Parts: sequence; C-alpha cells; structure tokens
Amino acid sequence: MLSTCLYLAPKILIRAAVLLIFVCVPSVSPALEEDPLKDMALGFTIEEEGLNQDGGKFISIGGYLESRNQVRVKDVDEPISLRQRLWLDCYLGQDWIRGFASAYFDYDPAVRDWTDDTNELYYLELNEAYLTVDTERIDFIFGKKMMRWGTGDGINPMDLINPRDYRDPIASARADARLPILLANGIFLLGPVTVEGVLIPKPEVNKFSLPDSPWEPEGLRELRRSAQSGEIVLAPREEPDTWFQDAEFAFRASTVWKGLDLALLYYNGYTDDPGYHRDYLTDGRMRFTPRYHCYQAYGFNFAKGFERATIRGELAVKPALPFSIHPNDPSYEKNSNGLVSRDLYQGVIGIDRTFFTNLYVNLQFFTDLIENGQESLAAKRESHGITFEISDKFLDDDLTAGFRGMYFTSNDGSACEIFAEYKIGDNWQIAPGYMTFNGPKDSRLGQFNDNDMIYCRLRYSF
Amino acid sequence: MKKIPIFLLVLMSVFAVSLPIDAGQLNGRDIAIKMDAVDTSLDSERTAIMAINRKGQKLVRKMETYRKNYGPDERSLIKFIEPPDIRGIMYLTWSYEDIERDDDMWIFLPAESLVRRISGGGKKGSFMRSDFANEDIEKREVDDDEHRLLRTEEFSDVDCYVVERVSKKQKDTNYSKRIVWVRKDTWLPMKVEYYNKRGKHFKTGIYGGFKEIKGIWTVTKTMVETPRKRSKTLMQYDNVDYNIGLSDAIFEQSNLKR
Repeated sequence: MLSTCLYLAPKILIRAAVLLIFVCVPSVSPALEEDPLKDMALGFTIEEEGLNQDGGKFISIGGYLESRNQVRVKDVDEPISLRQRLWLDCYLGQDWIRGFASAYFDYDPAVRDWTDDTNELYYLELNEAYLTVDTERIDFIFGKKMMRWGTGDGINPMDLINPRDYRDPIASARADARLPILLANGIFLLGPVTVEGVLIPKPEVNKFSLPDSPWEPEGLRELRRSAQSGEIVLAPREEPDTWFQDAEFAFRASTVWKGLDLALLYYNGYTDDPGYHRDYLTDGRMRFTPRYHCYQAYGFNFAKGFERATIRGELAVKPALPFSIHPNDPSYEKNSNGLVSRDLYQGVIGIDRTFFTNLYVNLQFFTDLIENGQESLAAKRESHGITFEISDKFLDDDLTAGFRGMYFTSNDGSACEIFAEYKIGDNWQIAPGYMTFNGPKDSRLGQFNDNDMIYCRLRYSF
Repeated sequence: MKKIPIFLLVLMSVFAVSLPIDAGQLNGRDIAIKMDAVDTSLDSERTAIMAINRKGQKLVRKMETYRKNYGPDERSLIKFIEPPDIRGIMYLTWSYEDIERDDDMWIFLPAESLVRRISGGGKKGSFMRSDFANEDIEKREVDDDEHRLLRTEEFSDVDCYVVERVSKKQKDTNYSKRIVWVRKDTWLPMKVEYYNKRGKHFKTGIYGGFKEIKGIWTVTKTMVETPRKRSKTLMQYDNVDYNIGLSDAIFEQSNLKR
C-alpha cells in the first residue's frame, strides 16, 4: 500500500503542478492583490460623501442663493442694485429624452429709488424650461431656452436669437446679459456637417428699460422726457406678436475642417431694437412710433485652437436695416418717416492665449460699418473698438483676478472692470469688483457714466 | 541523450510563464509602448470621483467620462456632475497621435448654452483645484516623451520597471521629468514621481485598485500628494466599462447640450 503510494506520488505531484499552471498562472491575480493604496488615508472617504452612488438619478435639483450688491461710486446712498436671489435648477430624465428647468426669485430693495412697482421689488421668473429628444443623428429641443451663437467673446454679430435682459443688461464690462425665449431647435448630423434650425414661433424683442432705471439709455430717456412734457408723442411699441405669422427662424451649418471650426449662419427675424417711425399729428406735434423691422442676416464664423492660443472670427452682413436720419439732414423733412435703409457689415477678430501656467490674455477687435448713402445718419457710419481680458489664478487656484473691458476706438466710450472671484470650498464664492464707464455722455458706454460701481457677489451653491 | 526530469520541466514551465520578458531586451520606449497597449478597447465609459484634502479642507468632484478610438486618434468627453457650480459643464477633446498636430478642444457652458473652442494652453494649470495638473489627465502619446529604463525594483511587493520620462516639449510642461514604476505583470503604473523644473521631486502619484474588466487591466484608484501644499487628491473610477459601442454622435459638438 505504502509502496503504491510512493509510486503514485510523483505522478500526483506532476498532475497537480500541471493543473497549477493552467488554473492559477493565467489569472495572474496574486500579483494584483498588492495595492499600494490600501493603507493610504485621505482624511475622509468617498463613501462618507455619498459620491459613489450611481449617478443615474431621474430627477436632480440644485441651485444657489446669492447676494449681489452694486453700489454707485459717486452716490453710495443710491445703489444700483441690492439683488438677493434664490435660483433653482431641475434636471429630469437621463437618456435620450430629458428635461431641464430653472427659475429664480429676486428681491431688490434698490429699485425703490426709481419705481414704486412691487413687481420689480419682488420678481419671480421661470428662466428656462425645455425638453431635449436626443437620437443618433437628429436631436430636437422644445421650450424656453437660451441659445447663443458665435465664436467671439462678448461681441457676436450673429447672436440674434435671445433678446437683451432689460432689467440687468450688463453681464460684465465686455458682455451683455440675455433672456431665454420660447423656441424649437432641430440638430441634424449629416456626415461631417451639422445643420441646425431654430424656429421662434413668437418673436421676442428687447424690452425697454423701465423709466428712470439705472440702465435706461440716454436717447430713450430724452424721448420719454419730451413725451411727458407734451413736446412730442411717444406711441406704444408695435411689437411683432402674432404666433407663427411673425415667426423668426435661423439656420447654422457647421463643420470642423483640419482643426478649424467653420460655420455659415442665416437669420430671418425682427430687429431687437426698434426704429422710431416719425409722423405728424394734426396739432403739428411729432409722433414717434417704435417699430421692429423684419430683416435677414448672413454670417460666417470661424475658430481655430493652437497649442496655447485660440483665434476666433465672425463676419455678418445685414442688408437694408432701418437707421434714423440725422435731424440736420435735408431729407429729414415733413413727409419722411425719419428712417432710411442701409446695409450693415460687422466683423470681429480675436485671439486668446495662456502664458506661463494660468495667465490668460484675450484681445479682440470689432467693427461695424454702415453702407454709405445720400442721407447722413443719426448713428455713426463707422464704429470700432477692442475688448480685452487679462486674468490669472492665485492661492492654489482659489482666487481668479484680473481686469477686462471694452474700448470703442470710434469715441463711443469704454467700460473697464477689475474683478476677483474667490472660492471657499466647493459651495461658497465671493466676487468683489469695480466697474467704470467712460466717454462722452451721448456715447454708447459713456451714457452710463453715473453707474460706475463697486460690487460684491456672495454665492452659496447647492 | 540524458532525459530531463519531468518535475524540472514543470518547474521550468512555471518559471517561463510567470517571469516577464527579460528586462535586458526592453528599453524605456518599449515599456511605454507596452503600457500604451494595455487598453485594447475601442471605447470606454466611467464615472470619476475626485476627493481632495487641501490643508484639511474637503473638496469633491464627480464627472462622467467617455472615450472612443478613431484609428490611432482618440475622442473623449467629460461631463461634470459635482460640485454644483460647475454642474453640466462639458469638455470635448479630439486628440491626435501625431504630436505635431494640435488637439481640438471645446467647452460647453450650460448657463449660456454656448459651445466655445478652447486651446490646450492651460495644460500646466491645476485640474479642478486638485493635485492633478491638466497635463496629468490628458492622454499622453508614447512619442510625447523620451523614455529611459533606469532599473528594475520592487515597489509594494511587486516587481517593477523604473522608467524616466522627459517631455519633448519642455515649455508645455510643469515637469523636468517623471519617474514611473511600471508593473512587470500588467504594464500598469504603480507610482509616479514628479520633478519640477529645478529637478526637485515635489509630487507623487500612487496607483491602485487594479481590476481586470472585460479582459483589460485597469487602474481604478489614483492618489496624488503634494506635500508642500499639504494637499492630497484621490481619483476613483467607478462603473468602468469597455467596448460598449458608443455612438460617434457622442463625440460631436452637437452633443454638447443639457
């Protein structure tokens, strides 16, 4: 028995060894059991934070609480805005069909300085609310939405879909703020080209700033003053507001070719700002009627990224736009409506570049050129300028600080802002700054000279 | 002829199977090529969770990442989920094997519904205020660096090649060199030491959570520590999946939307 066992032992050992080769070696798992991170501590665990839960939530709600206060440098007692805001975002669905909605509630006691309207003191607004249907080659979006087009920074001649935020029009010293609108958007992938169509069933134009508000343009203020004194008559605005009959639409065809973003754009809709039609009443007074004109615009955008820099450019042609004739021009006579059609050409070219680690420099040149004609215009035939930003990061990237602005080389004023954004943890952000407007009182930016401000925004995101 | 004992043959077989390729036959670039070839997938998706401890302050980030190969080139999409102030921001990158060709990169800013072309200019900057630099996150091509095999040694009880990597584009990197410990068995990194431009070791990355997913060995945890800043970042990958047949449309600009 023993001898049999001794005889069989080498055979069993060999078989066991062969089995070991085929069973154990191919898995190579023993080596991977050594995990150098096993005993390394971070101070807290991902499990404690609840972050390792599956991200596939059907509904997700977030938002922020914000206190943004803008105080005039020249008149501290009359602040521009003391806006306290609660903002809520809601994401719904996950996959090919999903929804998004955002809404905010504002309380701004500073409006008491210029209006008794409690709707301005307490302001509740559904910001965006839309549904996205996302398929392999065709996507559709329906609802109230922001949709900004363009490759430039702040100056985008073909960004014509969303109207300006009339209550709070300045986003920064080089960018305006817009409002979402109701639209239907279709995106079609046709090989290397993406074709996008937008239908705006009911046009939304720039609303007038409220009387005596800090952002009321000087020209409008003058008209309102003259109308109030009875010198002229300012008729109600004639807005395009018939559903589908006044519909606006836009198309964009874009592609990436050898690292270059290229896009052709077309827009058919209404001017965001009105032309003032003039006629005479029987008592001899002039009547001005703000009307929004239907027009078409054609554009071309491009952008190209390099190792450390990006160049961007936009061109637009807007044929037969209405412009006001200069009152001193001989054609500004009784039987004229005070308007004349001219083609408008617009161009933007810019570059941004990162130096060292985070020093960001952005410089952009823009120009508007109105077609020449017999009548002299109230607006300048040529306007041009630059936008700029220089910023850097400090304190282990918690602080971003710099300055940015816009300067019209055609004597239309300038805006400059010194800004800082300091992040405290993941939820808190404090952003103080100083913004100044300069230039002739009747210029685009100089008219807001009284609004030179220091501001501070404190935000808690959740 | 004298017969070789069977048990010796068995021992030799075991030895031959478990021993990696002789280090003498490999140079630094060969090891880099082996590392590059570990991920044989056509596409992948994963959820990345980043926990940062900066001098006791706690920061957390969560993002979904998608990647697809296009021949030797690659496209990737990152969607941020946390923290709340950057929720919905997306980065789309088309990167090319040809190191002379610049990557195409776009960012989607959800508040404005705006897609913007960006450049890779901020590569040296920190990734989301973590210990990772942007250049640590992006895919590096083998020919982005010069590779030199320094030695072989054990790290954390695992046999490793120790390889020095020096970027060919020194002006675009924070590092004068990186020294990488590479597992001999799976060609995954175990440890990386980062040296600043003055040649001083200032940051260390440790890799772990090695898992075989659909036949592909994968690092699922990385800890990077910068002692000077008293800062540590743990990146953990969950829900990792390969060869799922991701649509090309995911990697188009038109997909950059909420």
